[in-house]
Amino acid sequence: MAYGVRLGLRGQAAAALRLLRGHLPPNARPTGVRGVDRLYSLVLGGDGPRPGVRRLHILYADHVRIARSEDLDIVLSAFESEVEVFVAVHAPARVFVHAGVVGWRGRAIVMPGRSFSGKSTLVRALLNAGATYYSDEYAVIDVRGFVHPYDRPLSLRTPGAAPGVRPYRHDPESLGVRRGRKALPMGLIVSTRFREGTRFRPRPASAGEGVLALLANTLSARMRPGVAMVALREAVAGARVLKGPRGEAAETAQQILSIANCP
Amino acid sequence: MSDRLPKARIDGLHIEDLPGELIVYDLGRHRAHRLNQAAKLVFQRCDGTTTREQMARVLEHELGAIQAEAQVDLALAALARKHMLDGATPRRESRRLWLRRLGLAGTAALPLVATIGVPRPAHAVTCLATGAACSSNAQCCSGLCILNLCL
Repeated sequence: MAYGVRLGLRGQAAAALRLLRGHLPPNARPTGVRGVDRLYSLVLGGDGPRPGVRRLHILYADHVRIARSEDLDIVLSAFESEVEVFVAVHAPARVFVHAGVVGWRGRAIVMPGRSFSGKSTLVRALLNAGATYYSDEYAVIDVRGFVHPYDRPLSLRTPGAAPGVRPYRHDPESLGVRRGRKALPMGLIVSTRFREGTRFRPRPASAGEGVLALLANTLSARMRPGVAMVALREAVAGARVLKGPRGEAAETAQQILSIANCP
Repeated sequence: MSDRLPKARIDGLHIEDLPGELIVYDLGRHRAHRLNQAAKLVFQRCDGTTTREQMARVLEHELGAIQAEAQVDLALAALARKHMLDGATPRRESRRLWLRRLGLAGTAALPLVATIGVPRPAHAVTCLATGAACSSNAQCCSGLCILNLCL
């Protein structure tokens, strides 16, 4: 069970189940409930090479094959992406927004954005400046508009690496960063993306613009728009909204924290 | 627009009221609209009984709007174009043309309806760049995973 979504895991060997368990979303825990919302089945390809035989690992979500490869890491990575999205879309009491989140002085700073908009880099810069880690992937928002931590390792791309290279996962503690534990009200929404040679000169935006910026990155928006909009309305109620492109992350992080410090 | 008095759509819209703004989600088209104060005042009076002139008086009274009737027309045209009015046929006139007619280009208080397309879940998550190892199309930003590599 993760965020109220019931997940089933099936494998022909205990090793397969162990592998799948290691890639479940944060907060997933065993439960005795009967029936599942989705059943994942991993078929391992077997050990060692055999002439003329491809040792394929295959992953199914219910009856649909979602991954098939000789490389087990690729299959497990597909499982992780798939199960995360499934939970994010179907969680009954939470709204998942694709965003980086840090905690600062009892409030959450949320930076919604698509892949490659520089969210994780900005989160890392804010953590270096003393903020608390909440997530570099999802802002998990409840119906009161509070933001919960999404307890996953920080994912950082190596500077200068080719775009195809997968990012490395870092445990926040190994980077000397504090993890946030309790849900926070939203204090600041920063809608930005990296633009080379730019200085961060954000313009204040309205609460409605904040809702749209979050909604454009909300996974369950199409399936449950009513729930999403109520949660986002509550979330922006006490928050300030900033919009505009940013330059270097460290400088931007300092500016964001200065703005967050202003009452 | 037709000669009938403007009437807002009831079905297929989810509406959230914010101070000075309105967020309207079109459940069929999966588009979210943000109406500023002026557009909100007009939209909330699209009840099939309020005339353009009455709407204009509200804009004058609440916002001190100048050329209020023209502003009401601008708002109604935008609302019709975004399919938020019942049975209205939108005029194919751009906002810029309206602004030129009003002689008020750049005035922030004019009725404004800003729209976003709400993404499918796969488009709102982290995806893999070209060249990354993959096993399904959904993992890649391009939507194409060929021979276990994102195109």
